[in-house]
Amino acid sequence: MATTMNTRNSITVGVVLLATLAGTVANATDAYSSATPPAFSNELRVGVYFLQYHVSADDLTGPYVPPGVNIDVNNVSTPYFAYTRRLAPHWVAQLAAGIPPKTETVGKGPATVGSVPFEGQVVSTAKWLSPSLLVNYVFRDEAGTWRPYLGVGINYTKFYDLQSTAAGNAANGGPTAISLTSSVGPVVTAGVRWHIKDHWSAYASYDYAMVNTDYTGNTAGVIRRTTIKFNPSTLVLSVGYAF
Amino acid sequence: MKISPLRIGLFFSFALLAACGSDSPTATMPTSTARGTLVENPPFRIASLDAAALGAQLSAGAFAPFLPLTGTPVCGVDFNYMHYWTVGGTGEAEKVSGALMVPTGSAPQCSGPRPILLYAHGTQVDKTVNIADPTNPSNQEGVLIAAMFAAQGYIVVAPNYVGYDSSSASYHPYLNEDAQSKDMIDALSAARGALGNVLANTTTDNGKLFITGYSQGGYVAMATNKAMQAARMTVTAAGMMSGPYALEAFGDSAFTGHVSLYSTLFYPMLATSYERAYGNAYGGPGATAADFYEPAYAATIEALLPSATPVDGPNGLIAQGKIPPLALFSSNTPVTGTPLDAYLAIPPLDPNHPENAIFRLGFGPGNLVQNSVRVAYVSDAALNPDIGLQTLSDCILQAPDPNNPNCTHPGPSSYGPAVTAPSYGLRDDLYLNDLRNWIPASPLLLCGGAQDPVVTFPVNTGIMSLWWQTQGVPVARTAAALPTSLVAVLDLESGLGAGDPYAPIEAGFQQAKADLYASGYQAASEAWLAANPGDAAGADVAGQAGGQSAVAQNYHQTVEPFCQAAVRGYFSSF
Repeated sequence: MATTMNTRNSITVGVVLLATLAGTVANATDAYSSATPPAFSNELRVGVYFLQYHVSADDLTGPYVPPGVNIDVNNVSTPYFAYTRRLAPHWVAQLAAGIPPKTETVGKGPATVGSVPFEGQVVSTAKWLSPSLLVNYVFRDEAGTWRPYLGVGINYTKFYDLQSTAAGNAANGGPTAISLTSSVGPVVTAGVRWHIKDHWSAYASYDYAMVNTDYTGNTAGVIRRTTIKFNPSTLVLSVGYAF
Repeated sequence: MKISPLRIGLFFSFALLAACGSDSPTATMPTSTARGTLVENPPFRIASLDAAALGAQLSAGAFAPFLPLTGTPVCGVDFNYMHYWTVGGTGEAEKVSGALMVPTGSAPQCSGPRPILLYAHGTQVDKTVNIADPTNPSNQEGVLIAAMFAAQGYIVVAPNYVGYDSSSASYHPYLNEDAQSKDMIDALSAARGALGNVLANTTTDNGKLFITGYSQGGYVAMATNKAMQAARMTVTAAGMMSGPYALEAFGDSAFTGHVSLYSTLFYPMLATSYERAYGNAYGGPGATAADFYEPAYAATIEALLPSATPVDGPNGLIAQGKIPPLALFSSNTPVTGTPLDAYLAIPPLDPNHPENAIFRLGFGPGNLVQNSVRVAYVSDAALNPDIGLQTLSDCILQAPDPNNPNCTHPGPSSYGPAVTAPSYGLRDDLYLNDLRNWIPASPLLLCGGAQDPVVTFPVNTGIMSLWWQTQGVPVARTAAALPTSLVAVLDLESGLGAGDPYAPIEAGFQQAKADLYASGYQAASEAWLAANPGDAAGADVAGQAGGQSAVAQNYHQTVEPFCQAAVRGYFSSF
């Protein structure tokens, strides 16, 4: 199978490819365990982010807010891109980001606000631009096929294209302008690299970032606020091309 | 394929720039401060309650006794909270707030083209109450009009007034005809600008316009009717409840000793309002609050009401000594040695005039208004009397005076105000705002209770309607006259006689009074027995006094829901 692979389809198949690769781990390990690794310094990776939000928000405060009004965020997945730069035999710098996903915020708390449905309603959507810059320590010899790594870094998250939905406007009491402050916070990762062949490797990692933001909703001049910890954990599956 | 780190960096920079996109919009915010301009359009909706939720809220709370009167909600109600621009007592621009209650729901009368009801609320000493907020238990009047009108298919527009809620004005232009009628008209303009933009945008204006209001708001409703008529705006019909329409007569009545209940709250608001507007309310140009009020209050009372601090209670304004509970005037009445002294004296207890017992409460130690003010006011009234009050006193309230021709042959001026503008400042201001200079051109119901100790019925509803009669306006005081009369007068005490369509409402009012009396009687008699075990006779005397006191204290506000129900019935025929 590895011999029939070409550049084009390796970049485009993403998750499907990785799932298929998982079934051929044993053969691949045998085939490449003794190969001399090319001395590539740069790598581009493409794959998929599977984001799971661990939302913890204070109840919304402001005028005319019933007690217990809170929010949650639906999980989402999005294409992933990264660039890495080899710094030393065990050290790699990584700049990673997903195509900004459109996330859905759902109401949590009372079933209705007045007579307006709230619990479980998608009340707003937002896009996330969320690049992370990490430094990874990669274990084992560079020539190894399997190389686990641990990384730590910094995440910057910018929210944009914030939209209150019709359900959100109804719950808020009118057309609502939403703002979320940008977040800068730590991110950690634990992953493993599997060197497939020549330029090609596959990666699986688990990332955890701390993303805190201040929410402000403005409904006809009535301001409501809360602080939200999104703290997403992310499963990343990707393939990399080194050069 | 090689992509340099630089290009990656550019990619992210570009993405960051693209990320500075616009957020979703909120309401548009026009910058104009022209009268009737909405500050936010659409306005904020405080709450949306469907008919079932509104019904549940009404039946669960203190409102429950009124549900038979309002009926179960047919419509849901969206409580929209408008901010809009109007003017204050000197024409200054003021940003104020109010309610736009929009009926919702699937019943036929809850959407589509609907009538607008413009409502003026009664005197509110609590500066913070927002009539658009059904979540505030203090906002009983807002909930009442929602249940009575909006939940039955009326679009309700109700201003909070200058000086209340979010208004930054340091005073309220209380009973200022010009400013308050403009506030009402501006609230209506703002509401018409918001309809169609609010979340419940399928309910629209069908062109019918009803005006109503209670107490202070009864006056404001009439002032608004007058102003809209002058501006040739449509008024389908109006219903004024328990209002002080004949302001000069009402003022003369008080200064000659007929001090209605809670006057220590009303007069400071009135004097402040007129001082701001005309600069003469404390006696004349140059006079200050120190010339009008007793020294104990003069320093702070001008800016006291409305207040965010409660009037009653252990830390209230009365407990703080900022305002006396009832004593408007000194019990040491001024003695001039002239015939004026009869008018400056405390009214005697009189079995034929039980209301005097209430008026006497307006005198005491720790009083609010100086004796010199009374003397100046009453001197002016003696020289240039309010004709209507004089006729009322001579011909109706007492045995008819055979020397007063108005008693036997009332003419066009028999119930009019003073013949010329008064010379004393406050009295001139009342004359200026007295509504006995307007003849209605659209149907109108005056509703009240004859024994109202707060806004006295004979002096206001009585004189106003009698004056209209002398001006040739058909006024119905019986059911038989209703179909042919532009104006109808409903006294909840006496009703309209045979065929009275409001008879069930009047019966309900009598029952409410009986309930008040019974609870007052019980509380007072039990208290007496606790202090004097076994003294059943004494407990009965105390109980009767307690019952009468409970009725007197609550009479004025008890009238409101019953008169509202009557007004709704009156409006239903248009």
